[in-house]
Amino acid sequence: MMRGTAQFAVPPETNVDDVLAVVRRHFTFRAARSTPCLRRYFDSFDWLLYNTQTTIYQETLGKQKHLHWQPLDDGPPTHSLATAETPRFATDLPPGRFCDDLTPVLGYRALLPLADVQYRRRVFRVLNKDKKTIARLIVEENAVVTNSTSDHKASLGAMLRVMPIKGYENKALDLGRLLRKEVGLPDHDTPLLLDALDALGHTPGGATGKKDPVLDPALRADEAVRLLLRSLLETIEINEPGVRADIDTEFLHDFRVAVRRTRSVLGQLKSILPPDVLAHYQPEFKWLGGVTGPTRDLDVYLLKFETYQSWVPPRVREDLEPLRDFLKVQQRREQARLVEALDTPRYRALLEGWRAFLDGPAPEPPPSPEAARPVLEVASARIWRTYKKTLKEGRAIINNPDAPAEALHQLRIRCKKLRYLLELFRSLYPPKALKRLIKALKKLQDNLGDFNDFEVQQDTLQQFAAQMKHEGQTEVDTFLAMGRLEAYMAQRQDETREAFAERFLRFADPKNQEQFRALFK
Amino acid sequence: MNTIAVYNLKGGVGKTSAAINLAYLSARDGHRTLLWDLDPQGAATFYCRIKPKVKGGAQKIVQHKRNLDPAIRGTDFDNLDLLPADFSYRTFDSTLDATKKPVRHLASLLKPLKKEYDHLIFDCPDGLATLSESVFFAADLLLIPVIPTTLSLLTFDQVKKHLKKKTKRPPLTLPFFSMVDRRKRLHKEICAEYANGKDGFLKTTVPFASAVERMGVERAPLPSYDRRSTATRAYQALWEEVKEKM
Ligand SMILES: Nc1ncnc2c1ncn2[C@@H]1O[C@H](COP(=O)(O)OP(=O)(O)OP(=O)(O)O)[C@@H](O)[C@H]1O
Ligand SMILES: [Mg+2]
Repeated sequence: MMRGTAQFAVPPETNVDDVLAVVRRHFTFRAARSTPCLRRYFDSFDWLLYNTQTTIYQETLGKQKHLHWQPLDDGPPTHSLATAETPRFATDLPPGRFCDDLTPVLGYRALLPLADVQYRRRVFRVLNKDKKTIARLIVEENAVVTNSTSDHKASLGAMLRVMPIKGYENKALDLGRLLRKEVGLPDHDTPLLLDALDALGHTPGGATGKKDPVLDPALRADEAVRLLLRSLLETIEINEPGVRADIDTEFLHDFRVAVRRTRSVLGQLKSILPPDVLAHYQPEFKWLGGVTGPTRDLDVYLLKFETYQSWVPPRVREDLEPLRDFLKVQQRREQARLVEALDTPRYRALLEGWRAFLDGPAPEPPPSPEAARPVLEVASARIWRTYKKTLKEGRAIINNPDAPAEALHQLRIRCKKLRYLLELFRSLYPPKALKRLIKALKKLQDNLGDFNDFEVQQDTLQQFAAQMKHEGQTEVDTFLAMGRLEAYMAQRQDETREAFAERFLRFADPKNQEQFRALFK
Repeated sequence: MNTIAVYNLKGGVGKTSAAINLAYLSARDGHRTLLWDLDPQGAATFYCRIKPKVKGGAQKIVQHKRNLDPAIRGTDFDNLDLLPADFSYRTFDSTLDATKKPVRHLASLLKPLKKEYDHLIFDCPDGLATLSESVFFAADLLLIPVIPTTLSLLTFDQVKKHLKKKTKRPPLTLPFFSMVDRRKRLHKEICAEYANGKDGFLKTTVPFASAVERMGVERAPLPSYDRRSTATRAYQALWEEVKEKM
């Protein structure tokens, strides 16, 4: 933050105009009218801006609206834009630096309103003898904080801010000193956004921005697994409203990842949980994974649509547009089905029962000797076994050039299991070494994932075409363009298959093997 | 960062007025803008109510790219900063000549500013020597105010020839008519002749208006105190046209 910046809270018993009278004895300043001001703060649902120590807000002053992106500590905005629009996505911004810099930070996340702060603002310009502004004193009064998603309302105390001007920082420092020493105002370091969230009772970076639980290596394995499962359940619950509202595809994505991880734990750590619990919840979570799948697939299709278009020659790209429209209709249909599923008693019962089980006491005696062992031992053994299977299955594919697609599919699932285990138990192992292994694994997974996606997408293209044909109205040009897309996907699938051996060997190289052995054996 | 130079070989054609008003409009758009007053007369600096003083002068600035930032001053307007004029700028040519690569040197000094500003606008003094060459080398756009008279056009021709023959990497040249007095037959005729974009002339013309002269009394950019005058609207249109060319 710039030297000379200062913020002071005005205690309720202090009159702002008395403070200004003191300042006037030492500085010349020009008073300004009091103007109503509205700040609407935004962030993604998972606090991507907050986590990079920045915030975006739209400021309405009279008729003017600006969008600002600034450091969380209320330092001067690094990006500003005069615009009445509130962008939903980074890519909604007009082309330029704001858009370029925000896109990599937000990705596909939507900007959601966090809090509205309404207040009256007076800006006093401190002048030198040339009547040049050399510092600003800003008075913010009558602030009311509201939140568009609830009726919550709270008020904030008056604030004084000293804003320096480049090259004249000493004047701002003098002014700050005066307010602190002579007027006796207390410094207030909390940024406005945090005051506002606090007044609303929100914790920033909380909720979905939460971290996986940190496990004590000596903890009983079944206790540890319950901790992990509870954290996954929280992720499911937190994302549910976003999934229903369908404002950002990431809600559903995170919801599904948590479901898949839960299933993975149930499947891979069987001995640790009571058999009757497994028997009941495995099919239930499978059902939940199933009902959320079609919407996600269509989301992905739509997210990647421009990429797909770039895979066909420019002159036929337009011809794919009817496919996009078709996908949008399907997506809405599937989304409605998904919401219906979430409204069923089955879903309610699943979540409630599962929470009751996880919140209840760990079963005594433990369902198996393994359940009573320290989590570190159990996790390591599990990871090691899965890793060995991964190597074995991978080598089998390398040694057989005619290995069927099914074998790669198997390996893909195996890698996924390994990845989930590594990530779930990440807090038990040295972060740097683990990160390296996960990175190596991810490279291999990307290859297998692409191979699978290309295969599945060729199939779905066929299905879509059949359905579109059935519905009529689609021009033959669209089908031709879809055919080109399919051909391109087939070609890319072959290329990914060819790249597999190299990717796998890199993952299975002696250095990584040594590392796996050192950590998990 | 986009670098825009406002330049003409001829003096008193409205360079400074254009430079400061465009810089103000750029800042008002939300772009972080730096105006560098290269003219030792310091007219732009005066309009900003800032002391025409750079510690150590041109000599110090040229020494190291780190030395620019401490010289920069915030103006009265958000997003608009000024690098003030200094008396030492009157020998800027020879100061640059003493460096290893006189023409490229200025551009290399600007590097650290690239992250800090979206737009850099030079208000140039008249003349055609090392400083102007350095500005041509550093600038992406060269805005040239031209008064619509035969003589002014002749000077403009000279600048054009020079850019073509002598300048290694000439910026995109954007001439526009300035101080246009519609009551004068010659002004009207010349503007009409160039209205279709001949010689790269921009569509916008800045009229002769007393509101512009009042900047000397107000000591502020025209659009900040006069929202309605024809000249204000002309500078706004000019800025829109310049943005399109960036
Ligand atoms: N459009 C205009 N209408 C009326 N007066 C103008 C206009 N533009 C500039 N002037 C006046 O003409 C004088 C010269 O203008 P300005 O300083 O902008 O030109 P310049 O090219 O920068 O001059 P110099 O060569 O001295 O730097 C100033 O007094 C200014 O107020
Ligand atoms: Mg000038």
